[in-house]
Amino acid sequence: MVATVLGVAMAVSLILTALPGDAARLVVGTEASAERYEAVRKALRLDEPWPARFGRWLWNAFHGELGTSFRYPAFPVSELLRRGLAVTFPIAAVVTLLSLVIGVIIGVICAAWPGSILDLLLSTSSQTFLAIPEFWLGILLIGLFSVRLGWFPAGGFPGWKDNGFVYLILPIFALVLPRIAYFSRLTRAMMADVLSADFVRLARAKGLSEGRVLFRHALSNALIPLVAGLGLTFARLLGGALVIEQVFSLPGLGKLAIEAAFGRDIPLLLGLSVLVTGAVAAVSTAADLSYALLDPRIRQT
Amino acid sequence: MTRLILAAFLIIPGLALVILGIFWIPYSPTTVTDSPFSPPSLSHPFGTDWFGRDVLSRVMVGGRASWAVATFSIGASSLLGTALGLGAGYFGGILETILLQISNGILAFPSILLALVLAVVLGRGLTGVTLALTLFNLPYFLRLAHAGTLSLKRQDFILASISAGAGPFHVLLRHILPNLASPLLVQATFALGTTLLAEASLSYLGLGLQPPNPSWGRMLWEAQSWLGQSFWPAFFPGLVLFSAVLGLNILGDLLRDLLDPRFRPILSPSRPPQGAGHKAE
Repeated sequence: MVATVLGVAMAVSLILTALPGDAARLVVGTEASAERYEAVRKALRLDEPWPARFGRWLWNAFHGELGTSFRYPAFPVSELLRRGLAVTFPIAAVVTLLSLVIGVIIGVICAAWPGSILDLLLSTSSQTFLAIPEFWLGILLIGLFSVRLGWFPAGGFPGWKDNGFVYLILPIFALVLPRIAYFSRLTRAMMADVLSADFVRLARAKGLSEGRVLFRHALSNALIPLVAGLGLTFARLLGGALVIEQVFSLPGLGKLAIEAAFGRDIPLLLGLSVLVTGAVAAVSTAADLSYALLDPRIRQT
Repeated sequence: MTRLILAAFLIIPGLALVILGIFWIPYSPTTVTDSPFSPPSLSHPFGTDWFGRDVLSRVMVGGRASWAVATFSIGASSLLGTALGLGAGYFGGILETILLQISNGILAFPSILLALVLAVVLGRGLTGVTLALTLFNLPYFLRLAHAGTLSLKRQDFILASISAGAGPFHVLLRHILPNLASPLLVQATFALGTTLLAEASLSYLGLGLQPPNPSWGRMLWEAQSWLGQSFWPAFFPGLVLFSAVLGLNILGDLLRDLLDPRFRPILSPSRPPQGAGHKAE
């Protein structure tokens, strides 16, 4: 886990340093004099060899210092990340939980009545929502709900005061639909495997209610893939919702990542990569650990 | 059969428009042809945009880059990824460890962020985007080929072939690769859809072809600021992209059900043919 994060940080830093393009030039602009360019290069420590720079970055990172952004010299990277997270984290959490709950309920109902109208509706609509380009969905939602009906703002985020959450409703909606489709398909497929198994027949024969059979007995079988999907969805949303953040101009981690990538802001990109891969690694470790709690068969080995 | 017709119905019209666009387009994609924001009509089936340019022509030309980038990067990454995966799985050793570690590192990164960083570093034009999307698809093929080779290489027919004196290249190309062809084909079908989406997302963010040359993603970006005036310029480019991705997903599901014995309904009668398994990540 630590090795992955370290490896990714090293690779990002190396790629950004080794390949053509010049961060100092981007900071000073093309018009600046040679002296000023040199001064900035020195100030950003771009004149030092890569191992020295990466070594110092690593040393500082272990002390909780991620350096200062090239583009926003007034802000330490950790402060920028904290501000981005303040927007992105709630979105990712709400989207993950909402899509998990709705997706599981739909999936269980469809598995219980295979071939029913609802099931057919699910299998077609889930394909649809998995294929729909998220940013196009976002634009269509803006067109309908902001421009035509005027119910929600078309973008931006003024902060949590003054009902800021209304600005997040449409982006959350655009992110939730494909993920509901993902979770309901997953649940449906896992449940289909067990519904004809002996222990489910026994549970029914014991006279348990259908709801109890479905949600307690059969759903247990789907728990591990669901937990894995839950973790992955959340971690991916932290760094991967950048196109939706751009559509709705939300000042989250994604927007930060776009600016950092275009501006070759090496410290900011490094901080973002460490945060995002760290989240993926932490979440998958947590998911691995939870399997033992969820499945007694795993506990013995 | 229904699914095949559905997939063809979704993929072929859009692709045909793009291919037709190489030889003939109704109007030039960059000139003003009519009053701005005309709704769809006979002379402009997709309407006109904010400058009065014909949206159908722009969609036909704009798809070229998307399809070219997607097919090229899937072709390159599947060939290279399969070759590396076969080698890593068969020979093992330090090469295997390094390749798998790199793949896991790439997979731990959110795909679109990875593509964005790579494209910015490799150049913001089409070449950079193609290279970035190739790199971003590589680990999927590598891991698939690697896992398949690992499970196949201990099987009796492989051991028999080795003991009959076959060299590693003969075994890999004649015995292992044919057995992996179906899962790789399924993966390539899904990946083609994802890559079309990724290309459009990157061009939405401003990478790839630059204006006034049209690309689907960039058209959507520009149309978004004119939503108050007209909805159509933002509708059609997305619709064509969406139907291609949906068609490829349905085709991928169909191929998997047909080709992958584990999902063949005859072996698992309890499982209805639709909704079998979950999407390849």
